[in-house]
Amino acid sequence: MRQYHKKVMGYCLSMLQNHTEAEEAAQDIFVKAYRSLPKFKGNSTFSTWLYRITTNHCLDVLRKRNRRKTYSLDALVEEEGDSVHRLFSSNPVAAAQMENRDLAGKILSTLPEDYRIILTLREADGLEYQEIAETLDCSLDAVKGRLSRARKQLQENLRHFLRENDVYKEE
Amino acid sequence: MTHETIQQKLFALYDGPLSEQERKLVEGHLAQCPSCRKAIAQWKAVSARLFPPQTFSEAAEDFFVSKVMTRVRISTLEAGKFAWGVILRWALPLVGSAVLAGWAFFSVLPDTSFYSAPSADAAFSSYSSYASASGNGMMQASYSPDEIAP
Repeated sequence: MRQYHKKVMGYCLSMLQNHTEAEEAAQDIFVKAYRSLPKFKGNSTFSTWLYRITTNHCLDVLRKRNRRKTYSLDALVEEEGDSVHRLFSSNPVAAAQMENRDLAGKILSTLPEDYRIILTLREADGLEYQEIAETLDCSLDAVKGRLSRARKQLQENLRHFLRENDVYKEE
Repeated sequence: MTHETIQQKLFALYDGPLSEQERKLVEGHLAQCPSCRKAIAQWKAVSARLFPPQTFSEAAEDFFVSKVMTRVRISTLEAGKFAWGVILRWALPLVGSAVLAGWAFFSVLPDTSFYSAPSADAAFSSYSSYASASGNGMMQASYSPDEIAP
């Protein structure tokens, strides 16, 4: 459990954007996995199986949670424009602060659900294309296509901030 | 490889699944192409800010593990309770109903044979025993007043 705690918790945090809810979801996922362990046939790796449970559980939570607020791009720019500017500022200390997680969650919530999932699996958890394909039960080409579209849309959503701040210069 | 083809492979380079030959080609292109370098650097910056590495203290991890294990134990206990719940909710009433039905069948229903006509054999044996008891084989009226009176 310790081996997967960080990954499952990180995935839940990225998906649910709330620490308390993410921890509760992670607990639910491990309990569910423990109970379903006899059903695990070994057709995929254990981590893929666990990621599948995590993905389905997070989607269930999001669907049940009608009160969850998703941000339209315009609303985000209007309400949090300055904060987004700061997040992508050239000051690495400010950009690394913990409170920026909330903002990052809001930015990610401007994306469709499937884009958010695939970006989280790849960028936050570092899954390989094949692992993502097994987790999401789709082909390798579908993974590549969806990942590419998700990145394009995210960069498009952030284009004003990226252009103005030129964050890439510091990397 | 053209610039467009390389662009399609840029993120594959970033993600890692390129063959050695492709990797060398893309890296060679990157060294000469500022716009491709910018695209990759920009994405790295976005990713670093939106997907920062998660850090959890050992104490937090211990606490999490203990909470999950407690829930697992509780759920195991609840599973046992659930079985008893099913027994109490369904099995007991079913057994009770079956006992009642059996009692009704064997106790109450035979009483209703009083209303049905006796069979010929039963009537004959009843008459024979009555006749032998009365001594002359003739049917005699020997009802007591108690039997006649209501």
